[in-house]
Amino acid sequence: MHRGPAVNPEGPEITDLLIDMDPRSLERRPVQKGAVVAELEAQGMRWGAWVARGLPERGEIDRLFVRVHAEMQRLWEEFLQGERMRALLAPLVKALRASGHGGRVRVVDVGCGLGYLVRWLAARGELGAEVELLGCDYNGALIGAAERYRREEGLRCGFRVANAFTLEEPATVYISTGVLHHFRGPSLAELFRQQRGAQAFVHLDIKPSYLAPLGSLLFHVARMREPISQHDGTLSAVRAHPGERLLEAARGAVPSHEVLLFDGEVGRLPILRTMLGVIGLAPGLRGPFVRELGPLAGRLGATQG
Amino acid sequence: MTPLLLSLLALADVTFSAFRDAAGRNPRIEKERYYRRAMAGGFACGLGALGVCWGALRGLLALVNDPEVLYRDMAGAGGWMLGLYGSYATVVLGALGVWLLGGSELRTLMSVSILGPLTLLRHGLIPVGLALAWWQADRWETRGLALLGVMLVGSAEQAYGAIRARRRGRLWPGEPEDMASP
Ligand SMILES: C[S@@+](CC[C@H](N)C(=O)[O-])C[C@H]1O[C@@H](n2cnc3c(N)ncnc32)[C@H](O)[C@@H]1O
Repeated sequence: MHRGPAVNPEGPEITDLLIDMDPRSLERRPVQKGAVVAELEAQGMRWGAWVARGLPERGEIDRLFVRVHAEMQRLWEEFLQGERMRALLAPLVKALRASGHGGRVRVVDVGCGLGYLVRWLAARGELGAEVELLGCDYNGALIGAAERYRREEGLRCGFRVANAFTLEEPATVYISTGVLHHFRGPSLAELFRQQRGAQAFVHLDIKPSYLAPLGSLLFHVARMREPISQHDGTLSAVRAHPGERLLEAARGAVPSHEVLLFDGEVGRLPILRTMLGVIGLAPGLRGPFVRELGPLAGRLGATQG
Repeated sequence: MTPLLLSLLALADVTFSAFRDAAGRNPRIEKERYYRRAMAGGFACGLGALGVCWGALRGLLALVNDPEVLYRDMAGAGGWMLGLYGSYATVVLGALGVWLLGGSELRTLMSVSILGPLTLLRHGLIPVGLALAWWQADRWETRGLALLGVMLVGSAEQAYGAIRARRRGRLWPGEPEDMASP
């Protein structure tokens, strides 16, 4: 067996390896379990390879995806992800109005998974009827389930199967949670470039700190049942992009926008701030946004603290 | 008093085990009713487990010819379990109270520093309580009863899992179909 670290920070998450598709048609191609195990072993990821060996056969993978994302939703509920996004989005919508943006505001959640954020915002966000909420993900199994849960609760939002790199959904604001660390190297900038036509973007992801990997391991073991959730969740915290990297990628890709970090400062007690936000604002939007944010504006910064 | 307080703790623990079992299986947004039903199910399971323990307690006391001495031994050993489990429960319930009432930073602090780690600690704490009782007790009847109680409470989550497997993945009313494990 391959000798090396149990977790490789640059290695892939298992769920990423389980998805292969035509980037245009988004037609899923079959993935062989043996190939996933071999890839993880080749990258020195012994924990991951061990988990992958225990994965169900092909027909059950989509159900596994739904279960894994339901567990993730439980973690987001505990860590108030919906409330956190709303605290930024509601002032942003007001700022858009104040700076003359009339009519509909279209908010698109990129890599929405089961669409927790979009469904939460539809149910409790109180963003108003003029705000249209749409979730996109390239995993059709998750979008199918998201749509079913939306229908069951009669929520006013929508879902589409779409690749973040070839999004045809125009948006006023792009948002995401827990997605940025999936994009490595040049694809991070590519993701931001894809969003340059929007008035703003607000992306929240795990905040890297010296405590994040340990805390993430602890939480994913305490709160999640599926071994793949425990592995990928822990790896997410190891892979999380530092603020400087996010700023550089976003500023390079969308030079027209002002790019800021939310909770960029690590501080002495990083456990109090578990998420890091990167926010892009079209020219003229910063002033009204800061005014509408109120005291929260103190947590914005143009550099990593 | 000791058996009563231990029973209350056991009941609370089995009820919260049902909450943990139900959590992460229902991706809907509004699910207070779902959690209430799961916890009511857990409460009923807890009452059943307590019935078994109290039955065993009464049976043992009826069988021996020195029931007062045996009861004193049980109360003494139970007192140690109560001290350990009671302290744990006080911290967890306190943190839960702050989580329910506090703002977002206090909630994060409670989750990260207390609620998450203590969920993991619970698995280790249950046998420690048993070991304390075992060590304190003079009688095998006391040790047997402690073992029975700890096994019933400690295995609640596994028991829900076993029932879930027989019900093809669903246990609490309201669980969506796609949560069923193969
Ligand atoms: C860690 S999950 C986060 C899901 C969701 N945002 C949440 O917070 O629960 C990452 C998601 O990004 C999606 N994803 C990854 N790469 C993508 C791409 N190129 N296009 C669309 N979605 C993508 C995955 O399918 C997965 O659902």
